[in-house]
Amino acid sequence: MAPTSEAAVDLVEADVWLVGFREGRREVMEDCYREHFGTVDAAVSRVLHGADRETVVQDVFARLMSDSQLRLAFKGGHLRAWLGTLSRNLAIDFARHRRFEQPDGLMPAGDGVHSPHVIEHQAEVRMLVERFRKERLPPRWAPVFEARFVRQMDQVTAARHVGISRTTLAYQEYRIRGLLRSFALRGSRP
Amino acid sequence: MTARPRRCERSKLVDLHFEGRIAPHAERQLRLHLDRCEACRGHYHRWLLLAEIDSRVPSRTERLAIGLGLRAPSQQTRAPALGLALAAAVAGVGVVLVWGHAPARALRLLEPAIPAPSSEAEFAVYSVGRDGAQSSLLHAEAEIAPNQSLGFAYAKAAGTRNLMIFGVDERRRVVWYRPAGAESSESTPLLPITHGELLHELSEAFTQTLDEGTLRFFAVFTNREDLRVSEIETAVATAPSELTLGLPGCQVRSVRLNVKASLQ
Repeated sequence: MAPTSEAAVDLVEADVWLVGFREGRREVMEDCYREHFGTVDAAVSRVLHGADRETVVQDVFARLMSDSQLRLAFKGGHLRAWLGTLSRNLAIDFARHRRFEQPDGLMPAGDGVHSPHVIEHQAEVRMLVERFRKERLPPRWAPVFEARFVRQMDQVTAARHVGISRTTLAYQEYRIRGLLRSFALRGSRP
Repeated sequence: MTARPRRCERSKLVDLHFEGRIAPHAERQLRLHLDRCEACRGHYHRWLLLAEIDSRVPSRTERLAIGLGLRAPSQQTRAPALGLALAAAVAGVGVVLVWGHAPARALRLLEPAIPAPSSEAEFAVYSVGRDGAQSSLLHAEAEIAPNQSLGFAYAKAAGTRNLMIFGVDERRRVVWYRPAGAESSESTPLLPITHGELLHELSEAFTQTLDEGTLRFFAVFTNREDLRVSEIETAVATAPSELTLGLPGCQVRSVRLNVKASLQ
């Protein structure tokens, strides 16, 4: 059966995209990053976390941008699945390189999987917040800290919630941010 | 935070990365350096913690794009400090401040009519200790007693409205936790998610009598208001053998535990 004109247009567009991908055109690489960052990040995060996770996610896209042989290896079809496999393999290689414990290979496809280190990371964040409150945050700035940093309200909503002007809120927020960065990164007074 | 962490002279690269001001060649140096410098890995980790609290730290998507040269580095300067000092001096005059560095989120995709739930949302199952004993995080394949009290927590769910939590045993029987079993009718409202990125534990412990065998816990994060218990139970009943739930407009997380009667 002859393809409909709409299907023919889709096929031509797919071919144009594939040529652009294989040539490493910047706009196609930008699209690829925007569309598939989540896929790559999810695949890598099943194996690595923290700085290693981000290093490998970035490495996947750096290779796509710089390695024409790698791009030519994609013959068309489902880029998401191809990228997912590539990302997971690179993550496993990196984990081996760093002599990490090997992940089990029985992750189900599709739905997200339990990732306890994310929860542990969040527990660390909460501890940081609690220690900051206790050890460094001036009590008079606590309402702004709660609204802007813990509850992450926008400035207008936070100012209304705390009952101060946006100007005052912005000033307190700036001072809190300085204290927080110093506390979190250096463990010292600013 | 009282001990001062060990510093490396190249930790400035980490700062530039998280401030969104790093050039691609410097980013490549940073990645090579991180592989062999524990001090900078520690500094990077502390920045990751800070990034969860401080929304002015560019998102991971943005930071990595800047490092790749796909996005221009931020032009952040010290100027806001001066502006704020001035604002402090004239506080009460009604000056509206504009930050020198607005958090750029241009790489985010356009939101659909019903915003997608957070793709980074996570959830965890805890065993709740008795008689004051400490709770502990249950990792995949952990073993629990049939009457083990359980707690649940979620994180990184900002922008997501509702959550459902349930278990599915080997016979595909659904055990509801949220909404609770007795309430799980078509009209039951879903569990609303507390705003914010931080870890949030449900305030109550749950105890059910579970059948021995594998029990897979699911957390379904969604912005849909029309998601109902019946749709979940249909998805469970019709799922393929590996029990992958196809629920449109939802992010699904799961963890598999083993219920052992001998632990009772």
